[in-house]
Amino acid sequence: MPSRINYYWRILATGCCFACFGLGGFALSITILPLIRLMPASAERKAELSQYVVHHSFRLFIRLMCGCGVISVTIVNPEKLGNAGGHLIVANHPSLIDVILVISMLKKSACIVKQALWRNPFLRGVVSAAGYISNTESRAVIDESAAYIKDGGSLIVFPEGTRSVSGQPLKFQRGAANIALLAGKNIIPIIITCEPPSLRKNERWYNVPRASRMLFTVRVGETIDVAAFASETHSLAARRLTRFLENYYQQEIPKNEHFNTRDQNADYRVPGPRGYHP
Amino acid sequence: MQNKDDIYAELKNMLVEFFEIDEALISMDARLYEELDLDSIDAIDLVVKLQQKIGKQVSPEEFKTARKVGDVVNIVYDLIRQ
Repeated sequence: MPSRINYYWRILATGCCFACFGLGGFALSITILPLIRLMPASAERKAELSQYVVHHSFRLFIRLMCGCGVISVTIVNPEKLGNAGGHLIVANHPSLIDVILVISMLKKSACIVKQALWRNPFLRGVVSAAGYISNTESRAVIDESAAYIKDGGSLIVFPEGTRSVSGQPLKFQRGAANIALLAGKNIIPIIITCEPPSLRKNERWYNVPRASRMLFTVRVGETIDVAAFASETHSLAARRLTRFLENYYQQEIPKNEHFNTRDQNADYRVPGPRGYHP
Repeated sequence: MQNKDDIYAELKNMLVEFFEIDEALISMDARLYEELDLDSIDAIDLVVKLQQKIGKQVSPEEFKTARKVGDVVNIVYDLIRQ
């Protein structure tokens, strides 16, 4: 396809994909999710089932975006996630679809997402059914999140609190570190990059890159043992762990470059158990 | 720790030692949550540390009303004088 036509196609396809996402979310909240709510099961079990439905829906959405030629995704070291139970999953946040990418990799997981989603008519049903936690600035959120992973759940947090600002060093909030330390559970880091950068903070969905589709690399890092950060006070440990995570991501983000296949036809590439190596 | 200057000096030490706050940022007027980047968990740790230091119960409710470093100094000063 000539590049100009391809560019306009990608704008159109991106719009259609996001429209599908919103409508799909709404469709779920008036069909399957209410049925799950009516089931004679515990609240935890119902949230788990809803998470499973959301996982598959997001997987479908990512495949749709790949299929339309809007993005390609390379997943590296997915086996390091295991089932991620009882872990805090931490990821950097370069783009709008990061949370969708991460949830598409985890069958059962909750996520801390922005409060505004509970007022979004398309997604309100989804976030409440799946038991996601709202990012209000309060101690209760930290306690609730810590209890969740202590009970064996896996919880996704984006410590930046919002999408990254291009060209600026990463700034993490201490919430993620506080949750892991309070629960005494380890962190599995996920490193996300998007080349060319797009769907960033303050960018509109139709600002797709001119040159090519977006090539996402989503890499699972080695588990981080939080016990190593134990300090005299919780506050000190949280500060040290947060600083460690910031440095970790500054170092690891450029390494994703090695795994970027630059293969425009890669689609959704989940490599073998040893991971994809160029 | 008898007067407010002593309390301020001790509090400053605590903020630097246990919360790794840049000493240059600390003043009586520095706002705890905005300027010094403390959070609710830090506040609990700070209450515990203060209690150990002065050997008296610091009420968390009262502590919550503190906005500035100077407010904490006043709370501790009132407690010591009781």
